[in-house]
Amino acid sequence: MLKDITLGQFFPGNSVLHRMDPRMKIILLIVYLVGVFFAKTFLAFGLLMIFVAAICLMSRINFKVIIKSLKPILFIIVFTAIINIFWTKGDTLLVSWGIIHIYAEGLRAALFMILRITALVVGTSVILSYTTSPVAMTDALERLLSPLAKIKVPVHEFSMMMSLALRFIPTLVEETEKILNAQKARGADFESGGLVRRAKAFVPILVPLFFSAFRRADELAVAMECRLYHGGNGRTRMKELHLSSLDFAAAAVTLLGLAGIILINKVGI
Amino acid sequence: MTDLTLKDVSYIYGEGTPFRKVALDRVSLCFHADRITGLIGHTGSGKSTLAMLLNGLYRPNSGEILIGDQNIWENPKEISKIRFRVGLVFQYPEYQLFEETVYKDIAFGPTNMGVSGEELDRLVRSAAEFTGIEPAMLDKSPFELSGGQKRRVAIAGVLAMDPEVIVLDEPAAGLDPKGREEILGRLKHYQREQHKTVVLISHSMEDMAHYSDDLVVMKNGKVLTSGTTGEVFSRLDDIRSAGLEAPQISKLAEKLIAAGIKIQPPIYTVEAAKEAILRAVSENQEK
Repeated sequence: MLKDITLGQFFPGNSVLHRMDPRMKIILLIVYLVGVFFAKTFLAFGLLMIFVAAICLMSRINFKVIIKSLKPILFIIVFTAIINIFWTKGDTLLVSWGIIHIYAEGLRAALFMILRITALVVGTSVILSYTTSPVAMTDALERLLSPLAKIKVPVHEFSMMMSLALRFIPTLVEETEKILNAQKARGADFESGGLVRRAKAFVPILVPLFFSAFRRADELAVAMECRLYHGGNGRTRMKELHLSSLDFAAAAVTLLGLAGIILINKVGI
Repeated sequence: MTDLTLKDVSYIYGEGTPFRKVALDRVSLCFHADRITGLIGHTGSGKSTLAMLLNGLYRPNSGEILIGDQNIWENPKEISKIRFRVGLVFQYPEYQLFEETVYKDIAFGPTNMGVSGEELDRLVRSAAEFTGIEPAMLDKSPFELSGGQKRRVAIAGVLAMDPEVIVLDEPAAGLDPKGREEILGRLKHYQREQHKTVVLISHSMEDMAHYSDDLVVMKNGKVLTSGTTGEVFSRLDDIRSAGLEAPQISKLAEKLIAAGIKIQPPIYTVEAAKEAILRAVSENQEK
């Protein structure tokens, strides 16, 4: 169950998406997300899906992994789809049964919502988390947000915290699984009883988990200080980020895509 | 006095995904009642997976696991009852402590079994005694204890359920030699007194030679060889082909034999080596 969570997981590789400048990827992800929310017609969604399929193929990440990333939000997808089907009112009545009325517009809205959420999750995963190492990602964020340092925002510290948090997600997931099994072996029951009992059943999981998280944090802080970490001031980089022609090509394609979606919306086809 | 038997047990991780990996491949084994069986193998040989199959945390893809004559998956809804009969101590079990006091933490398992009152008190205190936890320690917070003490509390938490079979995954990992000896010695003492079926997973050959009655050597999810400790250590080539080292003292014995000193293998404990060498020397003198 817990192993299915792939959010924030990086798959090393050497695809076009892996080689792109992470700063450009973050900017283009924002452009892409704007596109996702702009899309309003079948043709626009078609274009969007072609784009999603193209980046999935280019990333050379196993298709099953990508599908799996949708699993945790399956409930949200189904739920919003159902709400859209039953609550959207329109002109073309398809089914009328008692108090239930289903309109063609409802089906359309539900389909668009499914596609939109899918595009959101898959796009973000493939463009950013699957193909960008946490180090590259925080580096890029730090650079992009560096103007904020002028108004005394601790940009470096924030990005360091973020990269550490990302780094520890898989570790904590693994740890949770271990503790869960250990307490099950001692007869802990997480499946039966009322709400209060079930909430209480998690104490044997949460206490050791918090304890080990704090222990890890403490050890990590010591290890960082041992290597003379003292914050961002005067810190140089092993890998300087450079924009290449690849990044400009990607930017051109993405912007064209966004322009296409806006144009399609305007024309209304 | 319960045998734990595996019949053609296979376990596959991630069946139907690109991460598919056969962890156990048609393993048939018997962990005999009233004996300590050592389970050895290289990292990734399937030892820890096997441990989780034995108490029903994992369900085998095929094959049967029998406790006595009963298939543990006969009634999947009752699997938690099996977990009380087959106690499993994980690697680094001290990380699972959570209660306010040592006493309460040891009592967690038996309380889940529905035990209470005097019987609960008796189980907790006898488990604490077997693992060498002094009564004064029972009221302390488990987070105040040292690493070795925490380990013993965690092991006591499983012993307190009074299971028929106890499976321990590397109970001495990460402890200093004195701590190792203390924990393994106490386990052996416990086994001899309570006549439980004990499965001891380790990759320390010295510990295995010293504490186990039977040995099972695993390689790539299969049983490479098994038998009494003496039998298995007389087949050192099998042990080496599993990517494991023979005990130091066995290596010494091999060299002595190669040098023409007449000692009888298998030699796998220091005591046995001492006796064999003394015998060889005195025979030599008589000549």
